[in-house]
Amino acid sequence: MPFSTIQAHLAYGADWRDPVTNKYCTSDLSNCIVGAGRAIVTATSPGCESNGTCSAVSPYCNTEIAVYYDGTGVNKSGFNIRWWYHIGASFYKYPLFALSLDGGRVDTFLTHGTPASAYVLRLVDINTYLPLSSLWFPYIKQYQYGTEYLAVAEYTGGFRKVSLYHCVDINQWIIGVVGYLFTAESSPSAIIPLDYYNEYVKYQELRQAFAYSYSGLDQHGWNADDMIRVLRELFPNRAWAVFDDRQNILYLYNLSPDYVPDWLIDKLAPTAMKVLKAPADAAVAKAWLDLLNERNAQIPPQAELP
Amino acid sequence: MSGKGTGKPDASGKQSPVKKKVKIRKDKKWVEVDVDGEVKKGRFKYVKFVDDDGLDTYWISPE
Repeated sequence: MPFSTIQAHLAYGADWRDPVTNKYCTSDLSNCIVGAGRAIVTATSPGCESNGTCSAVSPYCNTEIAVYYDGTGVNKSGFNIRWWYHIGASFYKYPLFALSLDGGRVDTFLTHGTPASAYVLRLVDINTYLPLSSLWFPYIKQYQYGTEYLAVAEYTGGFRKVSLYHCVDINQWIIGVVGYLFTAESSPSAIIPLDYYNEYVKYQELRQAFAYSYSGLDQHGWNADDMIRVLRELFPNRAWAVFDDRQNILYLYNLSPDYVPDWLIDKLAPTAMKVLKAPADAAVAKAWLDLLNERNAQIPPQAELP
Repeated sequence: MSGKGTGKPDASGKQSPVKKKVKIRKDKKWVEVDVDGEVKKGRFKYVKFVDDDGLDTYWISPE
């Protein structure tokens, strides 16, 4: 069984390179001063949801904010996750963000009463790595609107689902970045760049059918035939490809090999390509290629113009 | 595999072009196919033919 490495940064009101200082919600939650992405506020009323800068969630612990990976429907496992938070908000004893594995309650490494709370209670210095807790706080810093802190944690083992939970009191806000890196069973793959916001329903349907990687480039599943069947149903007029790594065949829909980039062939090394449907419209095939190139971080340098 | 391109006259009396025959490794066996062309993609070369399932197929060239 081949594996894929999945890495992502999720911005909640601040980009990864953007300090959380001076990013905040006003005390009446009428406005959020944020950077990239939506901040999260815990409120019984929508708060600054109305101006489009925040998403309101119900307060208190153990509310699931997002699901980052779910292989439960297809019995696909992830392994060995490392994650980190760069967060700004008021903070005491409890984690603002915590990853939950397999639907368990908030990550025990980060919950009050475990070794991790030793950091928050200042029983150990920050910058000290606690091996038994697999947790490391590089810094906790007070600033005008709350506390900024960076935590790094890791879990060595298998899991089927990774969710993001929050654990904060009412009328607090979560501004920061979550990053994670893990390995997951990966075959076969549908290769169809999707727009998360504009194609949300289809996106979710694919995600539930095949499990999911956050890259947006590939959705993982067990059976290439099932994947092709669902993609034909959902995207009859789009271009897409399915790589069946059991037979090592790359299936092309509304595509021909002319539109498959060399880097993808070098990466997948398919024994064969099979054309399920020749491109009816060159623009559709070209759009797939352009989006794929755009999202591929390994695009070779383009030749310089003469 | 497709048997097209035998070089024999068809019903109209025209002679179809003789296709290059290539042996590919498929399902753990060597299979001879009549190829319609070759395509270079990335670091690989593929031969084109119509497979038993009727699909245009590009198989990695043994050469």
